[in-house]
Formats: sequence, C-alpha cells, structure tokens
Amino acid sequence: MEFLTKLEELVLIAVLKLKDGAYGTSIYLHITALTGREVTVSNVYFPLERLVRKGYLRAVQGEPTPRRGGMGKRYYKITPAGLTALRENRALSLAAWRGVAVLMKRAEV
Amino acid sequence: MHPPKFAKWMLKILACRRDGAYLGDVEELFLHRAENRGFDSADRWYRREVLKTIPLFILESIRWRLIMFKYNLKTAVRNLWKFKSLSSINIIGLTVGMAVCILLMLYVQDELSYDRYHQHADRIFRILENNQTYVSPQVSGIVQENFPEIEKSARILVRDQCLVQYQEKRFIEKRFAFADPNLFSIFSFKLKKGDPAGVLNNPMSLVISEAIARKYFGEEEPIGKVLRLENEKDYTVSGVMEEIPRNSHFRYDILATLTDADQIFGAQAMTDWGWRNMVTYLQVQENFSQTSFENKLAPLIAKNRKLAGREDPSVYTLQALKDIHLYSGFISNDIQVQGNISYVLIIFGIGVLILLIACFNYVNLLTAHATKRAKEVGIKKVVGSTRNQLIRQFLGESIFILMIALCLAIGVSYLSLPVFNTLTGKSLSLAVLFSPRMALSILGILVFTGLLSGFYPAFILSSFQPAKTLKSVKSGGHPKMNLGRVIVSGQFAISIILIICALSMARQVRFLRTEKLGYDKEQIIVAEIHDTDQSKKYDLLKSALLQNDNVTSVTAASRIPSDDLNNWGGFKLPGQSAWTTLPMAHVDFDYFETFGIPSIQGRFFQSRMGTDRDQAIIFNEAALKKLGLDGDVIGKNLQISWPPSNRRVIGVVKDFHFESLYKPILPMAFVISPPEFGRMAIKVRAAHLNETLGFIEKTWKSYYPDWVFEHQFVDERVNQYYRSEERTFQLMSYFTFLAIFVSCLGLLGLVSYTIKKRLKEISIRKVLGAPVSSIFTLLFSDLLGGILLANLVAWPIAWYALNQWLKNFAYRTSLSLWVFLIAGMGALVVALMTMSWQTLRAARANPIDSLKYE
Repeated sequence: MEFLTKLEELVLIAVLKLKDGAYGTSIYLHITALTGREVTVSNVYFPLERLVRKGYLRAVQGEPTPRRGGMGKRYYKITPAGLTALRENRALSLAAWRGVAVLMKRAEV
Repeated sequence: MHPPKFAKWMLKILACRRDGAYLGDVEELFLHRAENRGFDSADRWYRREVLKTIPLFILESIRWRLIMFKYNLKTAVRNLWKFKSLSSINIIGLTVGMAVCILLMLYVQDELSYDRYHQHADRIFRILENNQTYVSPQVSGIVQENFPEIEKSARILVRDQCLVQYQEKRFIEKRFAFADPNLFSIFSFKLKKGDPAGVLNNPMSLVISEAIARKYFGEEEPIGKVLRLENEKDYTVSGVMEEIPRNSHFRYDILATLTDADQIFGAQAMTDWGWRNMVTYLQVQENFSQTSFENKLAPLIAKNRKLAGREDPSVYTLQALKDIHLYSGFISNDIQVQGNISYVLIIFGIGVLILLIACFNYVNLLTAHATKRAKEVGIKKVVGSTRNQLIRQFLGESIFILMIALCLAIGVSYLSLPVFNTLTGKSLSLAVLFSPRMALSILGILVFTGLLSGFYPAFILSSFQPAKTLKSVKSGGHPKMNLGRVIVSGQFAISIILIICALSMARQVRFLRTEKLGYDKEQIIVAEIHDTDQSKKYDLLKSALLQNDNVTSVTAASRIPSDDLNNWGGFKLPGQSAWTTLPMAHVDFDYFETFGIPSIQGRFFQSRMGTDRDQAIIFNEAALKKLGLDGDVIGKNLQISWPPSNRRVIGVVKDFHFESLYKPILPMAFVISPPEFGRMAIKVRAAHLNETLGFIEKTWKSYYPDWVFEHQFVDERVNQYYRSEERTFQLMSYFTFLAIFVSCLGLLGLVSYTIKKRLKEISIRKVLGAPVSSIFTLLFSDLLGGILLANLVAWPIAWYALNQWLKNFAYRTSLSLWVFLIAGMGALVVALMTMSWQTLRAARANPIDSLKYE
C-alpha cells in the first residue's frame, strides 16, 4: 500500500464527500472550512494533481460559467484505486490510534 | 465585481503550467469571498494568493527545467552512443585542442606573471645606461639625493660565481650577488628570519636562501654563522629568505651587503664612471612621470660625469619592472636570460589556432551529420517545440560534449605537464588552474568554443522544415556543403602556416648552431683563474699545462668569445680630443692562436717582443671603421683609457662573432693586461678528452688549492645562447604535429561522410565500368582544390610572420621557397593518406552491397 500525506488524505475525503460537486473551488472551501486555516489555492492543487497522476482521481471537464471569468470547471471523481488507498489508509489510522485515548488520558495525570 | 486587473494578469503568468480550471477556481473563490465578507477582504485575499504563488511558481519552473534537462541530456547521450565514430572524432579533437590551449595558457600566464608579485611592482623601475643593464655605482646615490620623486633606490652587483666556504664545505655558488639593504624594502622577497628593513645594514652581512642554509648548515641555526667568500672575506649570515620565486627576473641564493662597498671594492671603484657593474632599481612615488624624470636625469648625470673628467655621453633611461621579463630584447647583457613577448604571442597564437581547428572540426562534422538528426527535429517541431527550444537543446548538447572534452583535456594536460615542463624549462603546475583568474579563462574558453562551435549547427538543425524531413529523410542533406569545404581548407591553411613556421625555425636554429663564427669553438675548455697581486701563478700553471701533449694551447683573458662584451674602454687617436669607446678584451699571448682567429694585417702578440706587453694593441676590422682608420694601420699610435697608456697598432684580426648571432659584430680592441685576467681558455686534442680534463683539474688544483675547479666548453656556452629559440622550435614542432592531427581527424570525418552520401553514385559508376583509380580521383579532386586554396592563404601569412621573427637576429637565413613547397606538398600528402583508406575501401566495395536495398 502507498501512504498518503495528510493533505492528500483530506483532499481525497473531500472529493468523496462532495460527490458530483467536487471541483477546485468546492474542495478548497471544504478544506479551509474543515481546517479553519487559509491555505493557498495552489496548496490544494498540488495534492489534486499528484492524486490524478497516481490514478486515485480522475478529472472530468465541466461547463464554463460567468462567475468563473468564462473558465470551465474541472470535476474530480474518485477511482477504484483511490477508494482502495483511502480504505487502507483509514484502516492504518484506526489501527495506529487504537488505545491511544486511554494512554493520553493516563499521561495527562 | 472583478479581481484587481494587474493581480489577475500576474496570476495568469504564474499559472502558465495550469489550465483555465485553476484560474476559474480562483476567480470563483474571489466572488464567493466578496459576497460573504465584502469586496475589500476578497481583494486582499486575491493579492495574497498571487504573492504566495510566486515562490511556488519558481520552484515549479526549476523542476520543469530539470526535467527538460534530463530529457535533453538523455538525447545527447543517446546520440553520442549512436554515432560513435563521429562522437569520438569530435571529442578527441576538442580534447586535444583544449588540452593544448590549457597548457599554453599556463605557459603564457606564467610568462605574464613575472615580477608581478611585488607589492610595489607598479612603482619599481631599473635604470639602463646606453640600453644596458649595468650602470656606474654612484648613479643610485645621485638619483636618490636629487630627486624627491624617488623614494628608494638599491643596487645589485652581480658576480658570475663566488666560492663559498663553511668549515669543510666549499662550493662555487652561481646565484650570488651583492645588494644594497634597500633591496628588501623595494622588492617583496619574504624573509624567514631577519628584519627586512635592517637585514643588510651591517657591514659584512649577507642573506641566504633556505636551500643554501640547509646546504651549508644542515639543521643548525644559520643566523650568526660565518661564511667565507672567495677565500678572503668573512660574512655573517643576518637573514634567511624564501627562495626567490621562479617568475622573477633575477634569482639569487646569496645576497651580500653593499654597505661596506667602499672597503670591499675600493672607494675609487665606487666613484668610477667607467666601472659599470651595478644594476640599479628605483622605487618611485605614485604620480611619477617617466619622461620628465629621464629629461631631468640626463643633464644631472652629464654634469657629474664632467666633474669626474668623463666627456663621453651616456644615455640613461628607465625600464618598468613589469616590462623587464618580456620587453628586454633590446638589452644585450641582461642579468638573466629573459623571455620575449613575441614568443609569448607566437605560443598564444598557436594555442588559439589549434583550438580554432578543433572548433571547426566540430562545426563541420555536426553540420555534415545534420540529416541524421532531421527526423528528431521534425517530430519535435510537429509536437510543438519552438525553434528557440531546439536551438537551446542543440547548444546544450554542444556544451555537454565540450564539458566532456574539457574534463578529458584537464586530465590530458595533467598527464602531459611533465613533458611540457621539460620542453619549456618551466615548472608549471595545474594548481594554477583553480585560481579564480584561470578558472575564469577556462570558462571563457568553454563559452567561446561552445558558442563558436555550437551555434551554427544549432541554427542549421533547428531550421529544418518538419514536413520535408518527415516525408523523405534523404532530401535533407547538408544545406551548405561548400561551407564544409571552406572550413577544411581553413584548417589546412592553419596547419600549413604552422608547418612552414616550424620548418623555417628549424632552418634558423640549425643556422645558428652551424654558422661559422669566425673562431674555433671546439675542444676549448674554460676555467677560472684566481691570481692576486701577490700570487701570480697563472704563468706557471700555463707552462705546467703545456707539458701535456694533449694540451695544444693555453691563454687567459678578461673576456673570451661567448662572453658578453660589457667592458668598454676609451680610445683617442693623436689629434683627437674626444674618446671613442669600444668594447675591449684584456688578453694574454696565444689568444688568437688558441681560438684560431685569422689575422689580416700585421701580427699577433708575441712574448719574445718585449714591448708587446705594455705598448701594443690589436683591433678587429669593425674597430678600424669605427675609429676611421683605413689602409695600412700597422704602427699607428693611439692613447687608451685603461690601462692608461699609449699603444701602437701591431695587427688587425678578421671580424668574428664574439657574442651571439643576435647581435652585429662589434668593433673590438685587444691589449695585454694580466691584472684583468679572470679566466683561462685551454685548447685540447679531441683524443683522450677525459684524461686530459683530469690532468687539467689536477694541475689547476695544485696551483689553486683553496679553490673549486669548474670548467665549461666554449661550444656549449655558444649553444646556450640559442636555448630559447630551440625551445620555441621544439614546442612549435609538437604543436604543429597536433594541429595536423586534429585537422586530419576532421578531414577523416568529412570524407567518410561524403563517401556515405555518394556511395550509390560510386556503385553505379562501378557497375558501368569505372576503374578504382577513376573513383579515387573523383573523390580526391574535391579535396585538391581546397588544399591548393589553403596554400594560397597560408603562404603570405607565414611569409609575413617569419619575416617578423627573423628580424630578431642580426644574422639569419633567408626564407626558402622550398620550405613553402614542402609544407604545401606535405599537407597534400597527409590529406591524401588520411582519406585514401576510406576512399579505397569505398572504391573497391562490391556495388551490390550498396545498391540492393533500393
């Protein structure tokens, strides 16, 4: 299995959650809302492009709208490989976190 | 509501690698924000977004450059492997060219670095008297006292050699001189021990080099030790200096003080205008005008000379320290053999020429093979690469190949450095290459060759029309095959110039070595004699030596042929008021007999004539002209300045080359004056030379037991004159060979290419019945015109260059037409040989092999 970076993981989850409405702007808004931090658009685009290169996402050209200065949208869909990667990473996270809450509570005292 | 225009435009540029989706997203986000938080907030956000993108953009573009570089490098390496013979010819040619260039650059750099290391190098001059280095002792003092613009002055009194003794150790030291204490403050010689300001201040003190300290004292502390010079004077070591660097116009190992010169040499000598033995250096102030100083100096010196009763004028000039090494050709007797700017230029020129040949090769071969790359260019253009990108790619490829060649060249020059050092008599090291200046010049070479050789092929290659190249590869072709021929002609022209120069230099060097000098230089041994006023042993030694059957003749003199004529005396005919100055030699009986100098009037000195010793004089022919005498001069009387006496002319000898062939024969006078004798000349038989030498040494030692016997042969001394010619000639011949080699490499590549292109034509001709010879002629006739053209270009250039060079010599060979013809023919033959193998192979190949694929 291949490890995903935190940002890649977040982007991949965002695409999954946004269903058919996953494109640059919505992903960006989703992530800034989630993290409460303002990253640059490029910072979201890098993991997006990387995930497309790896084959975890696939891009679909959408229709241009006047709100976008006449530029088309690019929608992202998760691929089976992307799903697998997400699943594996989730399993890994869960496994890694198992029992940590107790330990942390103990450490606080 | 719109994002700020300028920021939007910037983002567009920065986002060059992304498509509209990205820009659209940013714009949409801007609107989204403007609706939620107001325009100002959105505006600020947008600007921040653009600013933050800049570093990302830079990183991105570097990444893409690297990716492109990786692919271009891959293409370059693949092409190197694919066309192995072409690549190796290119790389070998460039390697040789660059290696030669690096070596010659080291040489030139070294020649140009002479005396530059002194802190005040710009402000140091030396005084010349009548274009000679040696001036009278009091000049230094006069100059320093009377001219405020002179900060310091120092003198050097050079001795050919000096016997140095410490306890049992006794050696003849050749790099010995006396010097004023100021020498160490004018020049920046490094002292290991002792204080530069006061190191020579005490009487009878001297400074030695580290090597000398080790030689005499081993590990002992040298300061305060006493060295005995010439078996009489005890000098105390007051300082130890680092060895004077090789790039200095004088190099001494022992410098003894001149503070007590009055006691050592006699106060009278130190004020004698005729005793010209001092090299005088001046350190001047910042804003110093050489011409105005020289103008002021002349009358002052003339006044002083007049006070001392010297009416004869002397011209005093200054020479800048930085000019001494390379611009002293006009000085006849410098303290050390100096370089010559014209040789430096010649050598630099050769380096550049060979590099040019190598570059031409590269251009030619790459352009010739351009068709091979046509498909690549076509496809790249179809896929959308611009011409600029292609030019950049091909230039990059050239630079890649040049880098390989440069690395190899540094290796090759490193390996050949020892040979080069023996050739040039220098001790160069590649370490200099890493000094900033040299690194810069190497970079310069790289860029120069890169642009020169990379640009044209890049230009040609990138100009291909994709449609044409993809439709039919064969229609591409060398766009300007004529240029290829011109380049080959140019290379051969350069080679022919070098061959002509090398051959003519060989002729001149042989001429210098074999030209009749007018005296006999074979089997004459020179040794010093050490007589004082009390011990006059020379006459006894002479008769003892003559006891041996193998010793045919013995004489002594102040100057013998192959010495410098730096002792001038005054001559006055009855009725004349002014002295005429002529170089003179104080000689013993048998002088002319020993050297086989023929007489044309009168007789030689004869010991049985009692008056010859004090009253006779002999001139050479040139002197008669100088003095205005002609006809029968035997018996004429005249007055001479040293030893002061009246003399009667008893003979005239034929002119002979007392000095080197650089100089015209000087007028000369010979008188007998035993106190002036410094050395003896012994003519021996060729047979049993070693035994005779042993006998001479033993006999000599029995008369001068306290001295070290050293001997030289006159013919060796004569050959020493022409060392620099011989060296330049040797260098020249090596590099000529390399130039021819590189040219031939290029020719080889071009011929094999031409043959490949015309293989079908050749095959069809053969099928139709053409014999091998006619095909050979067909291919060769192409080349013949080029080589003839090369000769036409090369001859006048070589002729001009050689004439300039030969002007250095008073006596020289004439330029021979034969040399030119031989060089031209030689180039033709070499070209013929280079191409014959490939041509013959093509001409003899079975036509089926090349026709069956059609």
